[in-house]
Amino acid sequence: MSKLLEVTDLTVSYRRGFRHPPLLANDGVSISISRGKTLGIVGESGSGKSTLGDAILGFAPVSSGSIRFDGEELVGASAARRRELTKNIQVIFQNPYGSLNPAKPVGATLLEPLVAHRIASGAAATARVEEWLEVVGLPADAAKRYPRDFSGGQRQRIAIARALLVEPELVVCDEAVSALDLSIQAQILNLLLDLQHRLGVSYLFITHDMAVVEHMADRVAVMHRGVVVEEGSARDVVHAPTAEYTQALLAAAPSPDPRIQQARRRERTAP
Amino acid sequence: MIRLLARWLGTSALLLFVVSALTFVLTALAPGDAARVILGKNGTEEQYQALRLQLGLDEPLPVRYWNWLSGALHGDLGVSIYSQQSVTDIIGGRLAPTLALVVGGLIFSAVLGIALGIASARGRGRLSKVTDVISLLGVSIPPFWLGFILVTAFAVALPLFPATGYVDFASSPSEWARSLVLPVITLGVGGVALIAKQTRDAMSKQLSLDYVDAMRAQGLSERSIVFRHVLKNAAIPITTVLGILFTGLFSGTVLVENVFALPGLGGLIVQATASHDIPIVEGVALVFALVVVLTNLVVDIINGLLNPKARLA
Amino acid sequence: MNSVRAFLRKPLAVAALVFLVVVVLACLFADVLAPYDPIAQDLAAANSLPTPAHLLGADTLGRDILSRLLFGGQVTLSGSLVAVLVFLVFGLTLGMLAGYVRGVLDVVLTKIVEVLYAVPVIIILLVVLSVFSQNLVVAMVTLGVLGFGGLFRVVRATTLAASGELYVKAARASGLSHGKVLWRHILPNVWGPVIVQVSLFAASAVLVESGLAFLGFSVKAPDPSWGSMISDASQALTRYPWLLVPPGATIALVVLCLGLVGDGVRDSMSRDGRAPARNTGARAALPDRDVPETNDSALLSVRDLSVGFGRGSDTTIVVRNVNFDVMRGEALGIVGESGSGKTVTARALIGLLGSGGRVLGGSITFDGVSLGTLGRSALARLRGSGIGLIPQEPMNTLDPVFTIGSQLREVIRRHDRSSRRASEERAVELLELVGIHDPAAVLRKYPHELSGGMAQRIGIALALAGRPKLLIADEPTTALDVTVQQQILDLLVELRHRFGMALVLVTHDWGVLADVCDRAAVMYAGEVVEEAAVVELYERPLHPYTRALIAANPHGAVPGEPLPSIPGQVPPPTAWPKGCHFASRCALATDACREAPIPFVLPEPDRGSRCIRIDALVGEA
Repeated sequence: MSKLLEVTDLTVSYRRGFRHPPLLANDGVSISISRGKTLGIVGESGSGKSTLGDAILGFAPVSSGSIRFDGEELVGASAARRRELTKNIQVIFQNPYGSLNPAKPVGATLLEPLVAHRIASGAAATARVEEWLEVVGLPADAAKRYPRDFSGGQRQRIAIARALLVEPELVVCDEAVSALDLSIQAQILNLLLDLQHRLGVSYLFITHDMAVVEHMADRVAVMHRGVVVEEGSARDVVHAPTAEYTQALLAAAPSPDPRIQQARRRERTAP
Repeated sequence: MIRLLARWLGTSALLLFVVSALTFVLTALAPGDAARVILGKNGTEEQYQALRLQLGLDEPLPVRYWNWLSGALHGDLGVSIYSQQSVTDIIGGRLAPTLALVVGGLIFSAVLGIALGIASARGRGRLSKVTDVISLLGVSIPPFWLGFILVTAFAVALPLFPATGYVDFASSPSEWARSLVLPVITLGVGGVALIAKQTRDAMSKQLSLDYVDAMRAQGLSERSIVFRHVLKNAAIPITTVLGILFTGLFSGTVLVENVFALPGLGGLIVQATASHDIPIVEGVALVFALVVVLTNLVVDIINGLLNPKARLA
Repeated sequence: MNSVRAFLRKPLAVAALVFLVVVVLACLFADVLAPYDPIAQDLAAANSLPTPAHLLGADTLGRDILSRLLFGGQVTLSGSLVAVLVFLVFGLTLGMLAGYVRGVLDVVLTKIVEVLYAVPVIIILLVVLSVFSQNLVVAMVTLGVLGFGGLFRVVRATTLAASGELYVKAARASGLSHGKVLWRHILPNVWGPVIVQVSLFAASAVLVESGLAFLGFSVKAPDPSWGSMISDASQALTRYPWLLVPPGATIALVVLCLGLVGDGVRDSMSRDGRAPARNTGARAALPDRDVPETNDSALLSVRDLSVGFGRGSDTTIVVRNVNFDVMRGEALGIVGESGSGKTVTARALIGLLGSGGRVLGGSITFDGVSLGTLGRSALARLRGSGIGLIPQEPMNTLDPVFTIGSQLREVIRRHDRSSRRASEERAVELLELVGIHDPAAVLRKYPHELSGGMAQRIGIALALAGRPKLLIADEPTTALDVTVQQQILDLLVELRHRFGMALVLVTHDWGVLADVCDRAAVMYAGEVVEEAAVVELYERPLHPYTRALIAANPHGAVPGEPLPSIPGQVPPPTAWPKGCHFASRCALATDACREAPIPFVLPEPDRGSRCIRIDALVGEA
């Protein structure tokens, strides 16, 4: 089966003024995502995991390499084509407080992608927005309210509705649950899984949390300093990591089970 | 420090060029040139052409600007159209009252403004409202009008200070000081308002930052937190505003010297403007631009000393 | 729309706006409204004070002052309007362009504005006036050009900030064109600051115009303008001071009102300008009979602690009836989600609740001393020496303008009263203690030269400087990467054992709790709902919330299967129910749970729970 997204040898560098060498945020990154599947990208800050997402969305300056979506090359695509492609590639950001325009009612924000892509207009569009609000578990009258009337978890539901109501094939989830509390995080993860089952959407799931990625992803790529250090099935990467860095990352993430964690601590700090 | 200096030199050269070129080009555009002004309506065409030649007005504009500029670099700003006196000498003679007025105004605004600002940032509540009112009134009252009100109150009704005029420091230091009191207050009231508001805002902002609570948790005394840490952090924006104020006070002398009939630069440029004495206008404009440039340098250096991040940049 | 409503709620700003509108209209219709010809002389009325015939009096030539004010206003206001229009057009378009396009255009425009900013405005205006004599329009256009930098900077910064906002990125990801993004998402952000800047600039334009008129560069006598009326009045200053009052007061009032309108707009622009929610009514503290009086063997004993924010009837309770003990050398975790009150509880322990926060009831006993009985200075002495605090955001809790050494030495001298030299040695010792290998070099550094992990080590060194018996750590590793978190937690554990310090660790992370703590207090919606040793708590929770929260953790769940999530969300303090705070999300809740406050009970030795359905909970498991 052909891959939905294939990134090959991607290099992204940011200029840092005249006196510093450019920052290599992605250095020869290759990943791929199958239809209806989830690829988890794990890494710490500065690993380049968000840059990879930005490059796929067209927000980062690609210096070399290729990003093929459904067989089409995205690197070098025209701005107009890029805009069309936003119907197929969507995004959910980390910060639910910043990703919704505070000055606009939720309904207006949700109408934007429908109108921009001429998917629906007028009453049909409004109906579709209300339908999606219900899908993500919000009352239909939420459309008239402003982002500040909602909690962080509810805003993330709105962001999910915005991303999915154009029925894209790929959604980049950039630390989509990192800012949420545990009980809310579980709600949102369940919602994302449910929507994947129903719509067959693929996720590029960027996170720093090993437990979350194990739960969500079919395959996982671990990034460190702009490079993919390990890639494999979620099970293998989490339970039988081969790369030293993956092992360090897993060892550093504490287990919520006190017996396990305290045994690990004794083992590690024993002379 | 070297980068800071290089940056300052670049901006300063640009600013001096812009101000001097602007004044020069503008004055060249004026209907009726200097020769016409000097001769008045009675001059003949022959006299006019001769004078133009003598003043170098027949040369193209860039050449005239270059001549003026190279003269200016040697301290020669030309001669007044009316008195034929050297512009440099005229300006030199007018410098003392303006400097006394501006420096006095700066000290008055800074001392009162910072004290008021700190007090209201610490006291919150009522004092903060008082500062709001003072700062609103202070910037709303036209300074020239305030000057007349002060004269009415403290020179006419209650004759504590002279209404107008200036006494040389050399001839009588006490009379000199008395002659400056009302002008300095008139000039400085807006500054007090500006500095008080800036100090209050900067201090309040600093006081709300996490490091203040962290220091309290470490057991530091409130006095050390406010006067050592918060004040030094707040000093950075305050210094910047003091710099803006200083150059603003120079501009303010244009009005205030007129109210109190002080023989300074502000009065000079107003007279020169009214009488189209272009060389003097150009000369004073250059002096004001120089003041701005030097003030920026001082502000940059002080902020560099206060702020370790700026030092590295 | 909300900002408009917020503005209308400010009586002073609205009054100022009304005044301005009245003045502008009055001047506009001066032809109709003015009782006299502004230059008609009536020597009989010369120097008259306000009379029914001359409402504001008459000047030395017997001209009606009110009429002169109305006609003079036309000159002053139209001049100011010219300057404001130029200012607005230049500042708005160039500012948005520079902020959105960025790159070279931005650099060039910013440089130009920097130079314009430094130009002495009045002087250039005088130069312009010396050339175009008496032509105020040219002068006011010049004023607009020289002054637009102020607006440019604000518009550029707002545009720049807005284009960096996630929702702008999200709008682009939705497929909106640049033009649409600018129009729909950026321009609405810019309006507020623009109105503020325009009103402030209009104020200074009025002052400049009247100043120039005062100097005689405006209208030709005998035509009036506000500035020239002051100039006229000053001629008769000693004999008829009244003449000064009408024009000066008019200028001052107009400028003042412009400032008030600007301030009003600025204040009503704050994004979440919603009126603060009222409290549902402060409830009396509910003593928990089951809990013993202060535990004398504990280092820290907290009983019935309630904390609120606000004053009087506006008080909102955010922490209610909290009880826990910390033994000497013990590590207690306070674990909870956002809004649980865990941070407020920790801050109450050291008396640092910030503005508006206060302890409403209960007691905090530390080392046998009740903190409530201590005065401000005694409490301040206790901070750092008895109880040390390790803050959440290490970088923000250091003073950016002092070196690490200077900050550390100051704290050391405060506690040790030692010499400069001794404090220097102690500073080096402390840095070595927190695992910094090159203390001498680090002491010379400024906070911005440190990494996040290094900054947190400094934070710990500062907390240790007073040799505290109890450390309070508020989410000490939340801002750090997981590998750095491990190092910091290792350090905390090691130091605690070395010095026998007790620890109160505030966290939302069950992994961190399991790693570092002996016991834990679980907080939910302002209350401690359960307290137990961490192993007991994890393996056999005795509160439905604890159990549900542990189950919601993806750690150890079946991948891809739905997680057992908790429906709904944490109620905000203003919407706490009368009964159990968790009842609306709890599968075991009965009517009894909703009827009355739930007491904190001790179902087993050394365990506490705020639940009346423990039997059902245990039976179900």
